[in-house]
Order: sequence, then C-alpha cells, then structure tokens
Amino acid sequence: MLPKKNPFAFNAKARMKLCGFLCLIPPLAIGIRLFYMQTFLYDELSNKADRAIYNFLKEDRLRGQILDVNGNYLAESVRTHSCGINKRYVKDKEATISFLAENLPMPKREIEKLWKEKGNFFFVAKKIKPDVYMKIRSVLRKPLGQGLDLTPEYERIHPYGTSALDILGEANSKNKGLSGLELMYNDELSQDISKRRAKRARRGEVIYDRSLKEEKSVGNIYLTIDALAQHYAEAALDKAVQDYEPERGIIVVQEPSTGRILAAASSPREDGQALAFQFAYEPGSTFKTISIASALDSGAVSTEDMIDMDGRKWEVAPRVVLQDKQHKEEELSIADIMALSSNIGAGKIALELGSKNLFYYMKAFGFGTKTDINFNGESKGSVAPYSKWTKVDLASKGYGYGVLLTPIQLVSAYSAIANGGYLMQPHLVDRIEYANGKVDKKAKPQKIRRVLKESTTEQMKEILEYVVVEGSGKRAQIPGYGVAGKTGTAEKVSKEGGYAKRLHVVSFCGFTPIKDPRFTILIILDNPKKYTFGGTAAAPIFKQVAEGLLTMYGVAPDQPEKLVQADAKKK
Amino acid sequence: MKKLFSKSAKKHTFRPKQTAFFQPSAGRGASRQEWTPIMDQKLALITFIFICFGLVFTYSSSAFDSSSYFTRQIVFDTIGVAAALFLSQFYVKIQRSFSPIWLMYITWGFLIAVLFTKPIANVHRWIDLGPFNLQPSEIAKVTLVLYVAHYLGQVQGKLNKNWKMLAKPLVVSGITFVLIGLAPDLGTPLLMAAVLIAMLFVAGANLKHLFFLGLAAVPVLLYQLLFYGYRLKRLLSFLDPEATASTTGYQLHLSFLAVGSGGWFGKGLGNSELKLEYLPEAHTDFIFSIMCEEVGLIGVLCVVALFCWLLIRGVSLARAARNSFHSLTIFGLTLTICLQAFFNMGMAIGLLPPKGIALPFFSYGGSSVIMTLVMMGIIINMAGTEAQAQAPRHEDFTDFRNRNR
Amino acid sequence: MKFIVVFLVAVFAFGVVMMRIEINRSGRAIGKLQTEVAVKEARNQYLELENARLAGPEIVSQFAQEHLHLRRTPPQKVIVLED
Repeated sequence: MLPKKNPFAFNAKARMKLCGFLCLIPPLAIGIRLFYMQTFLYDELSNKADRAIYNFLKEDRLRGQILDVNGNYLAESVRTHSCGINKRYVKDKEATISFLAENLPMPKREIEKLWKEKGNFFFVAKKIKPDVYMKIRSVLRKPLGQGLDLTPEYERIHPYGTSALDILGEANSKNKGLSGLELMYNDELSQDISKRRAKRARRGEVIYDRSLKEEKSVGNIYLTIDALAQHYAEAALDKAVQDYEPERGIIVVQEPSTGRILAAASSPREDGQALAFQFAYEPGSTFKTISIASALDSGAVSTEDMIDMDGRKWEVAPRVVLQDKQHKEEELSIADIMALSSNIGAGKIALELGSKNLFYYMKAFGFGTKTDINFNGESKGSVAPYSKWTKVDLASKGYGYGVLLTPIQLVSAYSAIANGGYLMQPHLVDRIEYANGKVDKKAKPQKIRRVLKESTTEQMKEILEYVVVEGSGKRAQIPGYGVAGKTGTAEKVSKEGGYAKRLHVVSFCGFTPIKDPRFTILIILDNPKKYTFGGTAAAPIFKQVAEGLLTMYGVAPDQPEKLVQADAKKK
Repeated sequence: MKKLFSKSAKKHTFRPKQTAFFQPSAGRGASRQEWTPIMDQKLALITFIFICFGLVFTYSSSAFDSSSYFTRQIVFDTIGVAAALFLSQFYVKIQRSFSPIWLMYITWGFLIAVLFTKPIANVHRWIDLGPFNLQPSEIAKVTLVLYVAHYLGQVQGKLNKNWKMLAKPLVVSGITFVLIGLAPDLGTPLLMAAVLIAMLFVAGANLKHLFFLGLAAVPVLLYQLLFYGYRLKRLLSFLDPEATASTTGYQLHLSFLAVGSGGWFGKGLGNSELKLEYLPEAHTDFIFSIMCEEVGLIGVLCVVALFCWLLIRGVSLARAARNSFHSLTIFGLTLTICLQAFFNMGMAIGLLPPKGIALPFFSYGGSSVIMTLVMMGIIINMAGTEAQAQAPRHEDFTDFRNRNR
Repeated sequence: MKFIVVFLVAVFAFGVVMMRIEINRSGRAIGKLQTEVAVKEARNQYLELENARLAGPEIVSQFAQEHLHLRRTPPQKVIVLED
C-alpha cells in the first residue's frame, strides 16, 4: 500500500498529529493578539470605549429662571426639541413627510421644499412642543420614523412678552446667555457641570446610576424689578412714545431708601439694551437740583439769598451771553430759580460754589463712575477734571450742560436727596436662589456715602416741592401726595457745534411722597419729534407712573389736608 | 510533544501499526453484545463546561436587551443535550442502516429551500420554522464531515494513487459549498474547505493533488470577493476598523473597544458596557468580544485553552480509533468545532475578516447550539464504540463465547 | 463530582451576571422614566407659563379695562388696613 517513492510516507496517525499541531497555531496567534490588545492597547482602547459609552449630561440641564421680586416668572427655560431629517436613512419619503406634516405646524409642501433644497441632513422644525415630541418619539424606532432625529434644545420663554426684555436679555437654544442679565449671570444660571458623566445606551437612552445623583446647582435669579411696576412704567412710556415720537424713552423707578430699582423701561425695547444704564446724556435743568443742593450743602449760598438776574442777559464771559426768557424778574430766590428753571441763576450759583467744590460734589453723587450694578455696556458718563474747566464750563455745568450722566446715576442722586443725604448702592438683582438651597442675597441696602447734610436735603425737598406746586412741574401733582421734582428740557449738541433747538431731551426727575419718599422716578424722552418741554411731556408721565405705584403699594397720602382742599374746590 | 495527542487514548489501545488504521470495522465485535452506556468522561466534562458557561455568557450578552434569548437558548441546549445523549449511544448503529449520501441529499434540500425564503438582513440563511429558525448551513457542516469520512473510509488507501478518487467527495462538497455560498455566506464554506482538506490529507491524499486543489480554489475565492462588493468592503474594514468605524468597520471597531477595555481581568461578569445596545450582534457573532470585556485576558485564555483541550482530546481519540470511518469522523468533527471557534475568535480580534461565524457553545442560535451538541454526541459515540471494541481481551473472549452459542 | 463543581460555579457566575444586568436594566428603566418625567415636566411648564402669561399685568389690565370696564383706582382712594 505504501508508495515507495513518495518522500512523505503515508501515515494517518502522523498526519493527524501534524494537523493537530497546525490547528494549535491559530489559538496561539489568538492568545498573542489578545495579550497585545488587552495589555498594550488597554489604555488607548478603554479610553476610546469610555468616550463612546459615557457622555456628559451638560446639555440636559434647564437654565435657571429669572423672576421678579415677587416670584413672577420673567424668563424661564423649557425643554424643546428640534426635528431633523437624515435623508439617507429615510425608508419611505412620502409616508415620513406626510407624518411630519400631520404633526408639525407646517404644510407638506414646505417640508418637501426643504427636502429638495437642503443637503443630506436638515432641520425641519425647531422648538417642538412636548406633545408633538412624544408623537414623533413614538415612531422613532419604527420604519416610519427612520431617518428622523430629535435634538434636545431649550427655549427661553418670557411669559410677559417683551416686558423687561431690555434688562433680561436673551439666551439661545443651547442655554447660553447672549445679552443683558442672561449674559451677566450666565454662570449662575447655567452652572458648569461638565465633570458629571452618565452611562448611556444607544438611541440616547441614559442608564441611571446611583453614583450620578442629580446635583442641581443652577440658580434662579430674583430681580428687584417688580413686574407690575415695570408694566406701569412700560405702559406709560409706550403712550409717551406714541404721543411725542421720541428717538428714545427711558423710565427708571428706584426705591430711595434701599437703592432697589423697581422698574427700568426703555424704548425702543431690545434685548440687552437697557438704556437706563447704557444711555449717557446731558441732563439739562434736572441737574440744577444737584448743583444747587451742592451749593446749599457747602454753604456757598443759603435759601434766603436772592440772586441778581442781570436783566436776564448775563454775560458769563466775553461774547458768551445767557438769556432767561421764561420770566421777567430782576432777582430770584433759589426756590424761584428752580421753579422757573433759570439758567442764569443756576450758573451764578455754580460760580459761587466754585469748580473744585462742584466737582467734589459731582463725584460724591457718583457721576462719572459706573454703578456697581455693572450692567453690560453700562456707561460711566463723563465728568471732565475741574482743572480744565473755564468759567463758562463751570456756569454751564450749573444748569446741566457739559456733563454726561446715565439715568441710573441721576436717579441715585435724587434718591440721595429723598432719603436724607445718602448715596445708596443701586440694586437690580435681589437674590440668587440655588437649587441646593443656598441663597445669595445681593440687594442688601448699602450706603455708599453721605453726600448731603440732612438739613440740606430738607431744604431741597421744600424747593423741589415748590417746583411742582408753583413752578414748571405742576403737571406732576398728585392730590394728597407731596411730590418733589424738577423738569428738564435740554438742547443737544448739534453736529455743527453749539446747541440746537430742534434736538433736545425732555425729562423729569422726582420723588414722592415727600415725607418718607418711596419712589424716585426719572422720565427721559430723547429727541421727541414734536417739540415739547419737560413740564408738559415728562411731568404727566411721572404722575401716571407714580399714581400706579402708590396705588399698588398702598402708600397712604402724606398730605391729606390738600386732598380735603381739592375736594372743597371741586364742590 | 509526541505524547500530546496520544497520552489519553493510550490506555485503551495497543498502538497498532499504520495499517491498523484501515482495519475493517472495529465496532463489529461490540455490536452484538448487551448494550452498555457509552461515555467519554473528559469529552462530557468539556461539553458540560461549555454548555454551562455558554449559557452564562449568552445571558450576559443578551439579557440587557431581552431575556427571551436566554430562555430560548436553554431550550436549544436541552434539545441539543438530549440529541447528543441519544446519538452518543446509538449513532454508529443507526449509521449502518443507510448511506451518508442520503444525509447530503437532505442537506441539499434544506440548502435549496433556504434560498427561497424571505431574506433576513439581506441573506438567505434561515428557514423559519415557527418557534425557531433553522440554519441549514449548520446541518451541512455535520453531514458533509460524515459523508466525506464515510467515503474516505471506504476508499481507504487508494486515495493517493489516483486523483480521480478525490473527485467524488470534491464534487459533493463543491455542490454544498456553492449552495451555502449562494446564501450568501462565505465563512462556512471556507471553514469547511479547511476541514475537508485536512481530512483528505489525513486520509492519505497525494500532496500534489491537494496542492493543485488549493490552486484551483484561489480564483473561486477572488471571484467571490470581487463579485460581492460588500465582502470586499468587510474584508478591507478589518484591516483598519477605526478608519471605517462609521460604515463597514463599525462592528469591528466596537469589538476592538470591547476587547481592549477588558484588560487583564476584565470588568467583571455581567459588567460589559459595550453590550448596552452598542455592539451589534453581541450575543451571536461577537460574543467573544463581550467575553473578553467581562473576564479579561485571563478568562478568555481559559476559554481558548478549553477549545485546545477539546482539539487535543479529539485528535488523540481519532488517532486511537481503528475504524477509519470513525477515526476520520472524530477528527473532522473536532476540527470543525475548534476551527470554527478559532475562526470566530480571530474575527472578533481582527485577525480575520468578520464573516458571520458563530462561536460554538457560546453564541446564541438554535441551529448552531443543537448541531454543535450533535457533533459532540457523535464524537463521544464513535470514541466510545472504539473504546469498547478495544476493551481488554476477556470481554472479547466472552464475546466469542456468546457468539458461539 | 467535577460536574457538580462546574455546575455550582456556573450557577454562581450566573447569579452575579443576573444581578449586574438587572442593575443596568433598572438603570435604563429609571433613565427612561426620567426622560418621560422631563417631557411631562416640560408640558407642565408650558401650561404654567401660559398661566403666568395670562396672569401678566398687561393682559389682566387690558382685559379689565376693555371687557369689564374697570378703571385704575387713584391712590388716594386706597384704604390700607394695617394689622
């Protein structure tokens, strides 16, 4: 049987043994390969596996809310989803499109158009509401839903519409603040939680693990803004904008005793464009209050002094002549200077006070420096160093020209007069409440410094009350309540230099009630198309807003005797 | 080394000379005696270990998704064990009553039938039988080995003289391969071709013939690869799974992650993270990756060692058998199981292109489990028959006495 | 004997596997419930926000003035009852 010439002598057992040995080579190779993969490549591959299995839950966290002082929602985040289509994986185009058309608020034609125009992956709809989301999600695993993709997103909702939007700002669908408070407090509203990770299965399922406890540290921000006060301010401003068509309009309401800002309305209302902090302007006559208060406080003048009007044509410096056209008096008391808003009087008082002192008082009132609110894009105004002031500069600063203020600075200064001489730190954020129970109180009443003596403030209150009772601010009167305030009508610097009549700022700043003031209100209408004055346009707005606030807060009349007189008059 | 394949079988045998391999049916002596249970302790133990831990891993890799796989696997295992127990006692006796070519006819019937079924995942691989899907290619593995072994046992030593002697088994297995390949399934024919060549070699085929046979197979393989584009893609993807991770190499990429993240001792039984719906077919073709991830290098080396033990035990039993049909069957079936296992493992760790081959005993799948256990039953039966035939003389003596009566 | 040892080891391993898989499965169930809760919460939130919107000062005062013909009380007429 054996072929003699065959060098491989046939032997079944030997061949079996050979085969057996040959078959032991693969397991050897497998063993070596396994050893290589599981020891040398271990770090690399297990890192990659970790990255594939675990993902960070950073996305799955709702942004904190922004609420008003009473806990009304001003801005809140809601989970939504955007629905995308991955064309390549869609099984039945027709069925899928008609399914989407049924559930999404968009016609079939539009989806088909998108399908044609866009590339392989495109978003059909964003901000899908939960009900629709559930419907789409239920078909995701079925053939109908193949190729559909739901990406979690966040919608920032403002229940009160655009109310206070200028302060709040906007946040995008990825939970990032873009402007206003959303940007300023982005960290507090969306805590960085990228270190937490979660095991997930495919299709976005998250496998809960005890070690991955929900650790919420996102904060809710409570503002000092009162939604109702804000509404009053905005409603009044909207009406004024309708009537006078100003380029900009601002209303700021502050509580003088604490510095809290109750409302800050801007027109036009754009997210993050809170003009109360960002708008710097020449205040005009409303600034006379500041210069005269400073003069009284320093003792440069006293309330009994009469100021000579120089025949209502005062040559401050050669070829610089100031005129008072609104009165025919030869000399005026300080109260009358305020009531008639005499530029000559205010200028003379400023000269009396001197540049160094006026500068000192302006700095003490906080002009030329940012408030600690530090709102995005907040302006610090502009006050030139006194060493550079000429006599004309000094006189014109007395009646509010040549100095740039922000509304919040002016309001705080008036509040200082209202509250007995203290410059209070203005507050916009009341507190931040974190989900873990921690509360960060921000709006503690904080006296920055004493600016005026208490006696001076008493004198100023009387003068300002006189302005409203007898002077230019008559239309701000509220029966039964003492109102102190000052109107302002300032011409703006035109492009040619000098002051143009046509470009002007109309304003009113005041507080009420006079005994124990509760609200300091500043109204600014910048550059109204219809020419108007602080007394005619801004003062009534003050009345409107103040009445609303007094009603809302239930403030008792501080001058009930006037109420009786007014009633008697009517009869 | 020489002892590796003969030690265990030595007890029973007196080491016959090479011609003893072709001694006519050794079982005949035992056939007429009273029935005594046949059981090879070691093979049974290996099988038992495989079944037990196979179930554990099937459960581990599939239960997160659905526990029905596990319960079905238990049913399959039970059926398989029952079949194995039955065959381990009676297979040789049954086999005498018919020619194995009939097994091939039945197999071809199934293989043709499967081509007309609704494709699952683009391949005609399963016949839907209600409770479970029959996979004819699994049956083909057993029947082909049986047929070839039977044929080679018949032609005995004439094989190396005339290449025409090779024609019949080659034609039969060629038809089988083509039918399986039409499914399309390339892995099983490849595996079986390797087993076939080993059997031909062992049975004494001329080396030149085998060499030409190998040459002839090359164009077939190339044609298969080029004709079916996805095969080429899969083949290429195994070279660099990460680069193609988003498309064809996805499975393999994840398989690598699973294997690599196992480390020395693994993440612990049941702790696999890539089975959480990540690794596709984690409970069938890629169960080995999950095993690597869970029990680590040490654990899977034990599994590899078990398969090696099975291989060694099987080959030594084949060497001990004096009936060539039995010997070749034991050899062929052992090789089928072990090579399949190594093929699957190599595929999971990127040594071979992924080919849809199950890991015997571990992968979920009714046909695979049952047919693997059937193979074990046949091996045990033949080995036991041989052992009884070669039992000590006095039994032979009794035998003769009984026969004389 | 060997068979019993193998069997016991396998049963023990099986127990371990089962426990761990159950942990993962319930983790997934909890995860699912959590997403469900999140969706429900979102729906609830929408309703709450709608409620807040309708209770907003602008809408309320508009409604009061246009439909109920109410006017804003002047502050003098407010009577505050203090405790």
